[in-house]
Amino acid sequence: MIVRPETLLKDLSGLWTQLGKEETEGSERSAGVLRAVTMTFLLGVDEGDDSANEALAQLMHEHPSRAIVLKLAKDSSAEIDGRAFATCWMPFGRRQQICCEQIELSAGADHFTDTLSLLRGLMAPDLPVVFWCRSAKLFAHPAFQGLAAFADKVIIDSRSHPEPIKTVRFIDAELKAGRLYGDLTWTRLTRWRETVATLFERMDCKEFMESMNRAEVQYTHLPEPMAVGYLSAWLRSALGDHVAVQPIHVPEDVPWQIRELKFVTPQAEVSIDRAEKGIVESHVRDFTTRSVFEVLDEARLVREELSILGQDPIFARTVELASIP
Amino acid sequence: MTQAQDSANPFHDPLRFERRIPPCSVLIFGANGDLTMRKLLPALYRLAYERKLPAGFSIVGNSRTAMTHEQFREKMRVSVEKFIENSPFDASLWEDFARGIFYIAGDISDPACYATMKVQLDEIERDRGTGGNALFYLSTQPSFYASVVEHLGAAGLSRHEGGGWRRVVIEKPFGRDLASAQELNRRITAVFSERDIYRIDHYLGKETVQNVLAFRFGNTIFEPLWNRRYISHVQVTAAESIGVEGRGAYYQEAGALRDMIQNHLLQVMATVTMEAPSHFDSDTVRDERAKLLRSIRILKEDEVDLNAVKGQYGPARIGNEDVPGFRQEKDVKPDAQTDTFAAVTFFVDNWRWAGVPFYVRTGKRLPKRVTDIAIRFQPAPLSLFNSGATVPAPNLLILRIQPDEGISLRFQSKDPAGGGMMLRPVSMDFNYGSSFGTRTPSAYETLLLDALGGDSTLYTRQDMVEASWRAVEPILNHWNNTTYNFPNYDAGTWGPKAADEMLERRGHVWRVP
Repeated sequence: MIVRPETLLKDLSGLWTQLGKEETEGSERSAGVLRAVTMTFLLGVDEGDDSANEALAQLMHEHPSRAIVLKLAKDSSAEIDGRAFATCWMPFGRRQQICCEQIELSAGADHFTDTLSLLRGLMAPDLPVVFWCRSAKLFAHPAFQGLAAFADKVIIDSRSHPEPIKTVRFIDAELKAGRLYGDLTWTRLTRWRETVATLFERMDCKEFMESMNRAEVQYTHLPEPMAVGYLSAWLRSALGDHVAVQPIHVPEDVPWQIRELKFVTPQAEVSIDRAEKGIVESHVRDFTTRSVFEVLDEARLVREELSILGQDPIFARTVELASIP
Repeated sequence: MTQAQDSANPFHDPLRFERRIPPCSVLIFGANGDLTMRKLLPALYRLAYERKLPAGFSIVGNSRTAMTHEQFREKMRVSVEKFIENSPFDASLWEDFARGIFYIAGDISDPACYATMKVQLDEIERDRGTGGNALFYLSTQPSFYASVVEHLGAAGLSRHEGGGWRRVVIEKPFGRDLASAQELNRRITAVFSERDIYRIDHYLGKETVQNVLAFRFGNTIFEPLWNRRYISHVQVTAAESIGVEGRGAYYQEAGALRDMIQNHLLQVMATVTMEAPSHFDSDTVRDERAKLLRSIRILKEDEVDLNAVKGQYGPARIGNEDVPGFRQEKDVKPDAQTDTFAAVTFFVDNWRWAGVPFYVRTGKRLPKRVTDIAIRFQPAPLSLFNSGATVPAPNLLILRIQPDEGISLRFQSKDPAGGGMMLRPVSMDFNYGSSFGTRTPSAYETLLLDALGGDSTLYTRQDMVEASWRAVEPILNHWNNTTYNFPNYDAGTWGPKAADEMLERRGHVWRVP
């Protein structure tokens, strides 16, 4: 079957007409359908990756987009296929459905590059393009660079890649070339970093910082994860060369996690560690305070990245330091 | 730039997380009241949940009721659980948050009460590392504002020897008229400097009111049209479907003009009409708002009846419910002259707005709860379509403050049915809820965070308060000296007929929101 952009767009157009008609005829209380598009959102996934659809559905509520799902088929020889559909929801207490348009393009690895020419005609005009490459296979595919070139920002997750440090070095090179990238492995650290920033607002911690000579990032499982590399690099960048930042492996029979951050002077230490599930505790002398670390699903992480559609100098500096062997 | 942003914390990441608030305490006067339980504590808890509050953040509540710290914490827990909106309640976080909540029972007219507060704040500073920073929140009867502030000064609580900041937040009303507002200010500024006084007008904290500034000054296409040449008139409506809901005694003395127009709606009007500030910082933005408020034409005594309408609702049957009139409400005098509805035509005497009427109306027991601003553009100069029979409906831009926050633009489109060039108005809608599905912070979350961070952009300044009193005072005086034949509108309607006539005299009609 030949897949053409105009056919898909025509299908979308027909879909809107149909949805509007159904709503108008369906219920007297209905206030119709609201078509919402704030960007083109490209999502690169492997065939069978159902959790990606869930994340996409969540994202559409907050960032209604023309979503184009690029599916890498299991059968590498599968030819390109495409369809258009809409996802709708009724916000609580409202009478109007909100609908987002979706296009799905799938192809095997041998034909995946064919998607590039189709995409040119499918982008929503005049709006930003974001590419979330959730598939590590697609990241390694020759089509990746072409897809990334369409996007104003590319989001990947280095921890799902076979060699995360290589991915981070790739991001470093791309950032230096002026392209925008986000890494969800870094995004997951925001809660830790925010807690550190909050703690060092205390007057006694500001004084403490002047004599700090060591910081520790304790983690539970080997090999040392990229998150630890990022966090250490960020601390080095924030604290400067006079503070030694040490990743320390502390084995523990729990799912992988960063266990504790410790800031040490010759006389005292300040720490942030995990308490019960979803809570961390900060300790300064005999004072303890708690913060919520709610479980962050991918949609929440991507949402944070979508809120930054420009340069992110702190991330760029961290990536640069984390890339250094 | 706020003090929090000034501090050199190398861990800041303003792109990723909110500005850091320095460690501090909030001391709430009237902590046993409705505002504290319904708004302030839920807002502060929510800020803690979102990690926007600093480690060691503390709350001290004060009221006359005898309670232990523990009893007060429990009371606050119950109210936070009940009134927190669109947010989960985390018991473990509450446990930590509650450790920073303290209570002092005492009479605010007794100096000993303030001595106890000083001891408590010093103890908190020592144990919880607040650096002496404290925000005093006056959620008491307005008649106590000045004396509480004077007591704070006398007890040495308005200054901190170690350099910590001390600020005071005052709820409206800021006086009952111009003279009392000036007197209140004189007494408060004798203790706190203007930069440490935060006069809260929660309308300015509403996300959609702030969005008016973004809409006007973040886009280029509307601003060239934003003047007398293209805009015919503006209608600001703040309607409530409920009555006085047990606040009859208070409302009887206040009335709609004082309660809504003098503060909230004039601030909203100023936001819609002010000039662009040169910077987005608190003084520059407030300078522009104040300048606009000073430009509002002051009505002469003989102009009031033509430009202001006073109304009071009478009993009616709405649906299958019999609704009492205002005079039948609890604690309301049977001959009360209170305005439960007020509509005023304002004019702004500057080059941009000269001659453009701003119709502002508010009322209780109107058909629905809605606040919006409708900007009606001039009609097309020539009727080319619809066989020339009717002038096409003019373009209308509606900024919806609540509910269904958003922006709509009405324009003309060719009707495909029926053939020929028949035009029909259609609407282009932006809906906050659908374009930004994220939770919108409550006005109190926004404003408390601003006060803690030292940002007064969304707070009113004394010159703004005085300018808005000047604008409504001739109306108040005229109304006070006239006896009205009330009620003059039925509950559940859009107000008295005189309000329609006020617009008809200029060839305009109220839109139905």
